[in-house]
Amino acid sequence: MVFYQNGTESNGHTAKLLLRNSLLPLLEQRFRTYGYIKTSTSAFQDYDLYTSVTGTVPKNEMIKTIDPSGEVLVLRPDVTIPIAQQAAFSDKSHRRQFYVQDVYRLSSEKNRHEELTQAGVECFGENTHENDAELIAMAAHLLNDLQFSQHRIVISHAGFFKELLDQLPLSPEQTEQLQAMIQSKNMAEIKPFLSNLPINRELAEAVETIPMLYGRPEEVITKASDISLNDAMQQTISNLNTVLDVLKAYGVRDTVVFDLGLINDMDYYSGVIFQGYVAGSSKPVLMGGRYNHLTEQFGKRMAAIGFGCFADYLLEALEKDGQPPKMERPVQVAIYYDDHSTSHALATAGKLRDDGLKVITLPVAHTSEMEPPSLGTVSMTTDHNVLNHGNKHSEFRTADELANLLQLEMRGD
Amino acid sequence: MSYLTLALAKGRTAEASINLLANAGIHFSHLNEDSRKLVFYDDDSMIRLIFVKAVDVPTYVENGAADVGIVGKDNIIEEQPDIYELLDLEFGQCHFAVAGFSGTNLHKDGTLTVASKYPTAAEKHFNRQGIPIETIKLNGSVELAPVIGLADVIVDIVETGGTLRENGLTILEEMEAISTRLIVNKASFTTKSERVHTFINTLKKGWNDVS
Repeated sequence: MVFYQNGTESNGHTAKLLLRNSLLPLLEQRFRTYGYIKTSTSAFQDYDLYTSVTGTVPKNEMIKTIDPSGEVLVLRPDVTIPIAQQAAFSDKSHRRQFYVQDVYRLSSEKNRHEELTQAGVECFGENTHENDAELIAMAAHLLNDLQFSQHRIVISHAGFFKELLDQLPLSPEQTEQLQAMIQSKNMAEIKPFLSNLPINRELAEAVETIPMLYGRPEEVITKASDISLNDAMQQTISNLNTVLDVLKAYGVRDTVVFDLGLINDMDYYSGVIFQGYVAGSSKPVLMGGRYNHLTEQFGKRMAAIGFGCFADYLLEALEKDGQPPKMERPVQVAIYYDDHSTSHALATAGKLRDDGLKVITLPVAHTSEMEPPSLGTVSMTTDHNVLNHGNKHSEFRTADELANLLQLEMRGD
Repeated sequence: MSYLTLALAKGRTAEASINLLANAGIHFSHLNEDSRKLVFYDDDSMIRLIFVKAVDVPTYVENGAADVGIVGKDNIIEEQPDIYELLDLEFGQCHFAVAGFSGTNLHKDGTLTVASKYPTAAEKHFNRQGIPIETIKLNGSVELAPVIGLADVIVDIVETGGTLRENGLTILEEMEAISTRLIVNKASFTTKSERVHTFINTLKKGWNDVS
């Protein structure tokens, strides 16, 4: 029999354990410190939800299934869309929500099913510069927590390029070509491409400059003002400038870079777009932006902004650079007992567990090798009750005495 | 300071690339094309050069195994990597073309068989025209395919057309123009911003001096 292997790395299981036991709690903790509440969505989603709504997951990457009534379902390929749907349909939902959920994709490149853990936040109903900055600052804070040797948040705005695009007489195919050239900063080909279009020089120069609107935020803002052609573009720039001011107040000014050539998923995003990069990783480790139009597709206008990351990729990035989270030792106290001390030992363990300690109990006859507990090993026999920690051996009689000894150990650590 | 890694395509454009680097003042000790070594260092500019198969350069750069790469547009079109394509270095010029026996009908009934080192580029080209094709991926001596009857036509890069003529083939359709490009990993562009820009400017200077 051949067992189905998800993933090809032999350490896949260890990585998932580390992910669930150390990285995810760390991310969750950071989300909570910004006042976000944990939410969840069903693993089974309506296929039509994902095909009719403009999203960011290509159809061919979704894993479809059919329910008994013949409805086509899709295994949750993304978390944002169902959360936005919930938020649009419920009046009582919280404005600030975070999620840690698995998503399922069909990777054509790797030719296999992928089960990845996404962690992220969504904030609904606030459409302010302060709110934009809050999310960007939280993203920066998160990367800072993970102690990468370097991290950068690249910020763009969907409106700036869209405004230019509206003025260009392009077929859908040409639009795609132009977007690809801008996304790859392919200056050599943009110029000849534009010169074949019936547009004035001012417009052509503005489009040509977009890929170069990159670098220090102040410089980018100045350069962008120079080429802006109308009030809408000017408004976008002044929005970015205000967001930058708030980011300075957050103390993350040195972390942010502007790049108005960042124009991915233009149909989805409506305002700021941002991506997080860290040293040693070739792909952005987190991405997000404002998507005020998404809930309109559920019949309700509602401002929305969010960001998310694939925790699996973040962990890979951490293994190359930064401080991989350490897994807390699962056991603080191990109690070994002989046949005559069973009830005393188990009652003692119960007392320690009530105090919140992590305890395992093992009959002496069946001891096996295990990772040493962080606080100590307890031996309970008819003759002696001893707590062993390193070279220290302390006798005790009652569960309370043991609890006190352990308190001292904890303070000592 | 750590090394900036530059992936250089072996083969067709290697010599011109090395000359360009030399002009820009970037010299690698013990570097010559015939050497079997694949990694070279310039300790003055802190650049590590790796020699890889041309078709692999986009992969190395996209995945961050190299920060920057010098490679032909043909391989970029074929691999469609998510990278920055910052400079057209203008050497190694040639173009993609459909070639075969003269008089071959590209609009024949049924499926056209196309042999190529560049199946993606071939697919894209014929898709645009609505011509259904079957691609056969070959790794060399592509000109042989129509002669032997393996394929109706080939898609390949053509410099002078000499090889085609010698095998009795002719250009049926011209496709995109090709030249050598400088490509950059998107993360390196951001996290090693200064190093990458210094390198690009050095290269530009060397390049301007040549042309």
